[in-house]
Amino acid sequence: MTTLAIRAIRFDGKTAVARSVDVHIEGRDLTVVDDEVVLDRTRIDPSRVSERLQRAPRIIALEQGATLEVPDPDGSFDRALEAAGVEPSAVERMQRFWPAALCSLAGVAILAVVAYLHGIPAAANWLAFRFPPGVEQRFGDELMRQLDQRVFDPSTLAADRREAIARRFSEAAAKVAPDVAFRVEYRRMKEEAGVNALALPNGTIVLLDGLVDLANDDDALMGVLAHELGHVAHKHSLRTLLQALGTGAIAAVLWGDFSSVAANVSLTFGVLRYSREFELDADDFAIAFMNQNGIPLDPFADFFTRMEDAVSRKRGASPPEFLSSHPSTEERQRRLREAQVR
Amino acid sequence: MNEAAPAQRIDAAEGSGGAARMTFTGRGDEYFRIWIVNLFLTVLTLGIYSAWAKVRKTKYFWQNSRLDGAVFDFHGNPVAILKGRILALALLVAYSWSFEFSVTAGLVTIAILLAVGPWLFVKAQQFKFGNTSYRGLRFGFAATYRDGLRIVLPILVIWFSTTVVAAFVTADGGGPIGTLLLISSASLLLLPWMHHRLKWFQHARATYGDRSFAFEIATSAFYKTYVKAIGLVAAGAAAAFLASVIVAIPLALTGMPPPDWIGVALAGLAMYVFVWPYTAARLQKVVWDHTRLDEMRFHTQIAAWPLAKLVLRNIALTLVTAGLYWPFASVALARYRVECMRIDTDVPLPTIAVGLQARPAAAVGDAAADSFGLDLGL
Repeated sequence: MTTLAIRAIRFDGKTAVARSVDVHIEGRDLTVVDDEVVLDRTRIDPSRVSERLQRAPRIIALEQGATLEVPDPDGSFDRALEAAGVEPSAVERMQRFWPAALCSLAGVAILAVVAYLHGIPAAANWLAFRFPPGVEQRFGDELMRQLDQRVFDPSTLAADRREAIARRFSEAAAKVAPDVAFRVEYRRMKEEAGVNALALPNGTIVLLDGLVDLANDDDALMGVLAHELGHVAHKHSLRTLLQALGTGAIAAVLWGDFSSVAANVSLTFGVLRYSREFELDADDFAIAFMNQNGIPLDPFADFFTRMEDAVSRKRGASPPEFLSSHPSTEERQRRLREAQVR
Repeated sequence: MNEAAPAQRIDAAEGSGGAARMTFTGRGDEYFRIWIVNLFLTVLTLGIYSAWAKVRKTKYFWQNSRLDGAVFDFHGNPVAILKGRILALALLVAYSWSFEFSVTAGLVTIAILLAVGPWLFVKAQQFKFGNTSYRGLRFGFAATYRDGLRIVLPILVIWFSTTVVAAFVTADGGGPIGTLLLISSASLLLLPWMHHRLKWFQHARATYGDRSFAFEIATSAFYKTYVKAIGLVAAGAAAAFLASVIVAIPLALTGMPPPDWIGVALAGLAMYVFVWPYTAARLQKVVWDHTRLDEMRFHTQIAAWPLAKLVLRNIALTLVTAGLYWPFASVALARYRVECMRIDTDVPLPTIAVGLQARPAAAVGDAAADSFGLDLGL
């Protein structure tokens, strides 16, 4: 039977007065004594004893709101408590034991990488195809309304040209992906024609006049539209949104404490990588689409060069790939040319 | 059990009276292990453990904060924190996405935030103060939902007014663009007033045992600090511009296009490293110099330059170690802030302690102290 007397401070919970006391532990019983007067005698309840920290006192909740603060510089009180059945929890053991802490560090790194590479994309994919379609429709409609209000003007292309492109594409799409609902819309930017095409979550594919003019080739335009249809069919908008939420959550857990800037930077890099994957995925969709319809891929591949020239004339050299939302042009052209059925 | 014996024996060493300093006994290497285990379990449980992590972290920092021979303690219930976090997440998602959905959805969300915000603020303070103890007595926050509405609602209205008006403005400058400019500049001018109002609410309604803290109005001191901070931002921006020009010249000579983000990044860093510590240090000083608990007056010796040096060191080492220095940085910052605190009183602290009683049960605002835990960063 171990007996131990240690100096401590007792607060009665009714006033702020600190009372110096002696604490005795005998077996599983704790006795608090001041000048031969016994203040408390209680069976030690592990749930009322604070966890051990290196330099903080042990805090013990007594009956009727009283508390003890027991300094324990040499660990003797801790040993007495352990003998009395106050065992450290599994988490406490991990916190005290360096190898376990370092394993936690490795665990954090592994979990974060696995979640980023596999967990989040899989969860987003699963969720995207179970999302109420009304919500997606609403997001797309609202986005289109705002774009029309803020950045787009009506297209100035000839109506018969617009119809011809849309009709040819609709017929081709009916063969390859009959159950994907989409609609082709023509617009131009307010200041310039705009060399771009985009797919919205509600299935709307927007072709800008600048792109139609620059392509000047219907086979290339079919490639562009097929690529955008790939985004629609695979729900890339919604998946991007969901993956950004997931990545944002991881970034906030890892770095949010330190700085929201650090969290946002890692979020941005993370989302850019997902975006490049989706671009390649949409290219693959376009390849299958074109091959099944017997449309040559070379005009589409050539168009990338013209498009890159047009963009770099305006904005300067393109950023390195890891800073970009799209894979490099060479990579995409190489994939298209390799897939061309000769 | 023997309580309240008339002749209490008090350690002579504690009764110095006059002034008391706080000390901090936490250590970076110890907190690192707590932090990394917390992080691991949080990631493993998809964030659910974060509430338990928060309790462990808060306990660590409070139990290592020492004043006059006794430490502070935290008693928050992790389940309450988890509930608070889920609610906060739901509100954040609603606020971030409702305007993408439709203007009506956005306005409805803002109306909900206006109604719930003051209540959440009061609940969060009650949770934070009510679960903190020192010398066996609890702190508290004595305010009702009505008080919250009266104090916090005007701030929320000003805060959201810009968002609401902006929702009606179109890109080509149509809609209430004049109103938007007016309202956003008015909210900027009112920012120090809003900040002061929240601090005043927090400190004037805080309680310890049966006593209430008091906070003298300090609006003009808040304005002065903000004006000086804006001056520093302007100086920082000028310096950053100069630096970006210096960086851009050699790039231009080698034929590379000058990257325009360098200036922005430098300005951001200058802002964070110098202006944030300056403003934080000054405002802390103002707030504590105006706070009292009966005959006890509070002071902090926190100063802009040492804080800036500490923040710079923390950022640099955290970046270099890919975040691993962060727990050491938290401990260093906590040590500095805690050890700057001083309590002045004409009466020796042990004498004051005799008169300090526990707060009677079921007093105003204490009732639901356990219902919600929320981090507001205030």
